[in-house]
Amino acid sequence: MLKTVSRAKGVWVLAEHKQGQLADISLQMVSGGRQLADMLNEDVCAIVAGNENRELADTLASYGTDKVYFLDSPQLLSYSAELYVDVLSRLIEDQCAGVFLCGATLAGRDLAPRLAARLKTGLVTDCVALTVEAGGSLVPTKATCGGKVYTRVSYLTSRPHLVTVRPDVFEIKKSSNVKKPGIISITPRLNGKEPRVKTAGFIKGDPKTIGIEEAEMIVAGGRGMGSADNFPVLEELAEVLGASVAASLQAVDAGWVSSARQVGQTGKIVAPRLYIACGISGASYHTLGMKDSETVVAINTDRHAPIFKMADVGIVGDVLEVVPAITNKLKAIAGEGSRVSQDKVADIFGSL
Amino acid sequence: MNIVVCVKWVISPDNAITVENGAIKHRGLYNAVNPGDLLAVEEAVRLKALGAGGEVVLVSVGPPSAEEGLRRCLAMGADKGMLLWDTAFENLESYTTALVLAEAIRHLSYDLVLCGQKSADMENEQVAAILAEFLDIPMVSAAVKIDITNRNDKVLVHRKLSKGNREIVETRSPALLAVEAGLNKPRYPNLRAIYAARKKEIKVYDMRGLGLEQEQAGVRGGKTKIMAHLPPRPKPKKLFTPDSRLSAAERMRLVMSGGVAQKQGDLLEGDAEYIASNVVRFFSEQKLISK
Repeated sequence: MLKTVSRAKGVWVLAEHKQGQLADISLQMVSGGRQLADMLNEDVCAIVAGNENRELADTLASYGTDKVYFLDSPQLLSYSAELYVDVLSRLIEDQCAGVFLCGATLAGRDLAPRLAARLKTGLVTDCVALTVEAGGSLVPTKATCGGKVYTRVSYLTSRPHLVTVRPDVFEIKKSSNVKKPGIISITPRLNGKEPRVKTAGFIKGDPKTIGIEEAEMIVAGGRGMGSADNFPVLEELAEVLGASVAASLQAVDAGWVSSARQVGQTGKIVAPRLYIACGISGASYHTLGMKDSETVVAINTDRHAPIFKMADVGIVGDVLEVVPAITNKLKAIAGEGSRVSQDKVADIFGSL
Repeated sequence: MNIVVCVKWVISPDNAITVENGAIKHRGLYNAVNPGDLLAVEEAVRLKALGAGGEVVLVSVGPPSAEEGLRRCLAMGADKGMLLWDTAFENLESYTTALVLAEAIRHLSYDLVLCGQKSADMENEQVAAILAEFLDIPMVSAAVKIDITNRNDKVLVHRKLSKGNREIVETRSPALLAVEAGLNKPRYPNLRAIYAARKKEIKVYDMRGLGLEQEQAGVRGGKTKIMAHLPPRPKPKKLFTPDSRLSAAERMRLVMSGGVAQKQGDLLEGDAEYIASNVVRFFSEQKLISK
């Protein structure tokens, strides 16, 4: 059974930030961490790497952080797995952290298992729920088998226990009991070791050319678009949103769009944050390809189209009227020639 | 160029999976090579062809039935396989799986270790990183393009970030690369390759053969334990209500244009301007746009 080392305490959260702003995911982790800490009767400690910025401490405190540890070293400003593992594992051990919590972001998913290996302790990844059982043991739940199963996992080791949590599982919530945060500044010993993996550069993806499976937002056209000549209407909406254009099987078969942009059972499977289905009926061979989209907006003249069953916003109307109206409203907000899309989750510290 | 590829025989993601009494109903479920690992095998075979000879060795922790998966990978062009199995390995989790793999791999000579970023069944996404730590070699995750120059031991990798962005990283072999979709399209071996694969060697190693102790690799060596498998909770639909609190001007315009806004259940219809206002408001509420 679980042996809880009584000295190990505190819910520790790694705060991701970009350009001096805390990422939403970090505020989620602090909010969720606060709830967890209340159940365990412990403190929430936030770790801010590479930045000595007092406003961040107050912001973190307003969501329930008790102590903020600033790892003051310019080398830590951008994420490097090896540096972070060295510094964080030492901090977790020195401070006898109880639970270490971070978002299952690109950086979190890269860092957490390395930490688990270094600390020789248990990690449960990409969790969709956290519960605390009798005795204070943490039992996370994670999605497995492509989301078809929810699996509850317990830790067999003593603390620290590591968890990564899926984005948007925790709601961002201000704390009702805000205290002045304790601020501890640590100058980590970096060994002078050269990281074995070095960043050589970045390539920014253009929504017009990236594979639709990687697109964060998609504007898709189906048979209801009428002809290839009407697709520029979708391209304009895509442009202002920073989205990629895709299509249903019908539109591809009609030769209006290249098959590389086909969504569906015989095309690609996509799971973007936003999927706007224009003139698409929503037959199962299509929805199989986009059912995991976070948000679905559907526009169709047929109010009985099956797509409306899975749309978060269903619009009965003519795409050729509705889409330009949306585009114009968005353009008014963005200003000519720019995009409105907002970064929701920090990709990686301090990059792109 | 010697490449080790870690392969897992998983519950195929194409199955309709149900749970009962806290366990996955295994009857009728079929297995497959983990899709991410197939990418790794394909890449290993490709890199070997580019380099000057060498071997692609498959390593898999799994029961005897996993041999089918190894044969498939051998048919793709891998040279030989190592199947690691012991009754003590029945309930291995990520840490102990990595431990067992490391024991087999550390005695091999390799330039690269490749594996899928995560398994399609348990989706822990931990083995690759933990294995690299045990082998004490550099590790790169989310690899979608691999460039290896033979003359020096430099390895150039493109990592998949979100929104189609890429990070370019450099490291030196030996290194471990965890690969993701976008890397390549795994080949379908032809019949001749499938027959040839039957003659390739698969050696089975049990715990003693690997030099492991019961405490290390058995369930007691594990860091986490599965308590129960449960049915998933459905994702809640986002709340959207058309805003009837339009400004006076907009209401006037609606009345005058004769386009009265209607709602059928949750459906939005009527004047395009009215629809657009609601959609943009919804986007803003959902933080899809910055406003």
